[in-house]
Amino acid sequence: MIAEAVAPVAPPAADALVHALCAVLPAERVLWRPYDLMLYEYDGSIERHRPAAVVFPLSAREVSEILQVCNRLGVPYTARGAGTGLSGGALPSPGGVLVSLARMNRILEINPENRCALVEPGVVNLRLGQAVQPYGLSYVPDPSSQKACTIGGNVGENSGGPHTLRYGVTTNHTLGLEVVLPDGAIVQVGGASADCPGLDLVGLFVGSEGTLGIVTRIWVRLIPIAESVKTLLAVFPTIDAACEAVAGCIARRIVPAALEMMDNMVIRAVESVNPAGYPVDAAAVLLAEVDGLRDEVDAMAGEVEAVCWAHGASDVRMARNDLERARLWAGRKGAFGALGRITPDYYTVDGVVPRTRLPEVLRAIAAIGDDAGFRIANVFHAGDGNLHPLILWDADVPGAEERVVAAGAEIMRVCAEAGGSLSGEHGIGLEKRDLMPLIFGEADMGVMHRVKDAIDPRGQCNPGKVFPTAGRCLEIFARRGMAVGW
Amino acid sequence: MSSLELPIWDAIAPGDPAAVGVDGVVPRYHARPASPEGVATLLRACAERGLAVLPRGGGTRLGIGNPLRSLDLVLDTGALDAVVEYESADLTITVQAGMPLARLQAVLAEQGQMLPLDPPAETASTVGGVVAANASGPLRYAFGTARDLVLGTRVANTDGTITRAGGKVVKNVAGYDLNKLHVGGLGCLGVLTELSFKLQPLPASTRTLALRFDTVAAQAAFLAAVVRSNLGPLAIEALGPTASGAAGLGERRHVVLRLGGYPHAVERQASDLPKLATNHGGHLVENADGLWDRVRNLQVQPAANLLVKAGVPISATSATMEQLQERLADFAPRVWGHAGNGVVYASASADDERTETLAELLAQLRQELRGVDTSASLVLLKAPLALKRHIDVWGDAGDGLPLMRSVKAALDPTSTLNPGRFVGGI
Ligand SMILES: Cc1cc2nc3c(=O)[nH]c(=O)nc-3n(C[C@H](O)[C@H](O)[C@H](O)COP(=O)(O)OP(=O)(O)OC[C@H]3O[C@@H](n4cnc5c(N)ncnc54)[C@H](O)[C@@H]3O)c2cc1C
Repeated sequence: MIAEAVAPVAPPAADALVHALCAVLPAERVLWRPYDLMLYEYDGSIERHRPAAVVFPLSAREVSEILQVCNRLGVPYTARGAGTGLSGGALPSPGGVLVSLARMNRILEINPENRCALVEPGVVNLRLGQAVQPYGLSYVPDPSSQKACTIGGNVGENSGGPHTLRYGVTTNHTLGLEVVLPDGAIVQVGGASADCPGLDLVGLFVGSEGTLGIVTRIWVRLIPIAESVKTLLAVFPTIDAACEAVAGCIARRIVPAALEMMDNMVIRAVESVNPAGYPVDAAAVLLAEVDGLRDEVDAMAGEVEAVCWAHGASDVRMARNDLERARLWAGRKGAFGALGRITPDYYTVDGVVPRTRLPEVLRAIAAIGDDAGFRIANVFHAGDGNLHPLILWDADVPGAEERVVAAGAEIMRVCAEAGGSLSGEHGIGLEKRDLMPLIFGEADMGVMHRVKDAIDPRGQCNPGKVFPTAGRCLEIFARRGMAVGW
Repeated sequence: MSSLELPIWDAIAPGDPAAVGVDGVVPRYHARPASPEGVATLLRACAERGLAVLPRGGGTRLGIGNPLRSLDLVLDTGALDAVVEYESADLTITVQAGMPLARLQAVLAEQGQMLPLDPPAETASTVGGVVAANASGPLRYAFGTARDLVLGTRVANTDGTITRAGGKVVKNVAGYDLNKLHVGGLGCLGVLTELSFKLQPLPASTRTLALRFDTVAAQAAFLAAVVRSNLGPLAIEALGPTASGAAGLGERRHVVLRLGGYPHAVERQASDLPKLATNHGGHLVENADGLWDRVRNLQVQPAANLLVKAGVPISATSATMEQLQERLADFAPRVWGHAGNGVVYASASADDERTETLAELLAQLRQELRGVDTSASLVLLKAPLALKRHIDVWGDAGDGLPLMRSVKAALDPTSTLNPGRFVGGI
């Protein structure tokens, strides 16, 4: 890592923060030179913020000491996993410390009898999956970024993935946490045992975007790998038809293990980079997977197939073996990356709508793209109604960023009006904080605020995330015709 | 106190016999607001007057918790019993909190759907009460507990506001997941008025298997195997001898499995699981009609005045069952558990003469379980008042307690709701 490559030169004597951090951590685990910091000024979102320092703790104790330094000096701090987050959650506050958990990356225990594992937050998602596989177990949440993102980051965002449709997202697989609270206390909430008495603080922490403390250990739930899996690709002549097939599955009470959609732009991008065998002339494809006992998967796959035909599929192909299956999935998991081939930049939007509303919402999104003059590609977790419109743009075009962000906000408005949510898995972070009034009233946000203040009274723990900034918020409340006075 | 000044107080009848007290504390008032706004207004009025409020759904789980420090008013949610929005094609529903669980299930069954939450006493229980008490049943093995099924909540707060968290869609990470605080929060932070749930299709076919084991070791070995296997029963219930007797199985050790899903899969499970049992020294026994309902309702047992629940790691289930059976032997125990989840129940008869002995015994058991796993717990879900005076029903709520206190202070600063009933005297 960079930290080791750079010879530790003494920081300027004036930098009290860096000196204080170096007093609790070895100097090689404290970055402060502008050159080193540059690498940490971004995550997967559009914005950039440079930290005052980046630290690499190895234990909860060290995290606690770092927070105490920050508290003493009144400096904000932000936890960072792999920095793949798409809403700016891991961007530091101005003058703040970035606490990288990347080196706390041990799998401490895999306990097949208890169907759980104990891991440090820096463990990469895919590595955990691979480590438990020999035991016939799986860790379900599988974000498309799983080769890079960390379990700590997943907990921060309450991440999902293609296979969370049937089996649930991160919160459903998190049994317990060790957390360093904003006051520096190290606490364990939940654990390997069921039904711990008291408030479900685990449930509160998961998805709180690092604003309530820093997670240093995670007890995760593991589930047995299904005996049999069938993966099928259904090809559709229109996006509407594909959406209706998704709604049709749910309405027929079929909940596959995964049900993903890709539109023509995505199909072409995938096929031009790393061909998965998707037909390039299709308007949309659905990638569906069913799992269970071998005695039932044929029936399940048959039902999904029938629904697809009934909604006008032009072809339905079943993967015949693991190789074909892996190829179909590689296309889906590499879709974001492949888009880089057809556009200089893309802006990933994350929203959720009731599954019955998918057809109309996708039409509205296409219209937003047309109006704003952007192409919008779609690759998303259709079975959950979790949209990911990707707005294709070019950062070099002056003024484009504002227009892209505005189009994203417009899409959020459509989701909210359809009875949906601003985010299914990428979080609110900096990106959407000012859109929160689209789905929550002042009083709703007020309760969240009170919880935040109760746990982080100093307000130094990843400030500026999730909650609307005062000015912007007034504006939106006003536009919604709501009582103003946030 | 001039209580009849505000229109909202009209609903209150002093000394209403329906407002049964809890733990010997009899409330002065009983209210049954007709709307969520009515709940909120009432809460605020109580908070301003320093009155203590006990929210009540079906009244099936009022015994949970430590004795209240004070109680002035029972707030009955029974009038809030409407379906707000049912999108069967979306597999989601929003209902008011006072709706009886059984009625909700009936509404859903008409569309071939269910809420996979099957705690005992579903006819008398309201959905709000079930969620607030975090009550669960055997199906939690396959579908999780209320925390996994609640998508959104509307809550009436003691400041008179009604606030929402979560939403109606099946995936949602916008803002803090405050739903989680109310699931199992026992109405200590706010009163649930509306809940949105994620639903499941009713399984196309179901079956119940009863497997008998002669030794603890055999039962334990089978349980370990079934938990690791991907044969996927919907529920794995382990029954000790007396619980087996109560379920009509004969006083031996049993494992009762609930199967459900596609008919072919159920066939396969029904053939493979007994084989797996045989490998571990067990065997399939005939089971009479209604076994599953009896197993589901083992908790409902008017004769027993003590019901404890142990939460342990999954692999400690059998040992914990054995431990409770032996140590409570003098109190006519009945022991069973959700073996795939690490949840063990024991019901027993406590008498007043031996209260102190029993309290000591339970405290000791608690210690021992903690020795197995730091997050293990033993909670008294039902206990005579005398016993509650000798032992905290929750036990140690762990490192998180100070945080829970802060959250309580932030959301119910006047301590209007259920004062003293929850962990750590919250
Ligand atoms: C190509 C691509 C595909 C993606 N696909 C998906 C997908 O399918 N599903 C999905 O859900 N997301 C997806 N994402 C988003 C992202 O990968 C996830 O949000 C992921 O969980 C972030 O993990 P991370 O380790 O990179 O966390 P970071 O980005 O470093 O941090 C994310 C948030 O968690 C907080 N955090 C990190 N570690 C801790 C900790 N130890 N304690 C407390 N808070 C902490 C941070 O402060 C921040 O708020 C994708 C991103 C990309 C770039």
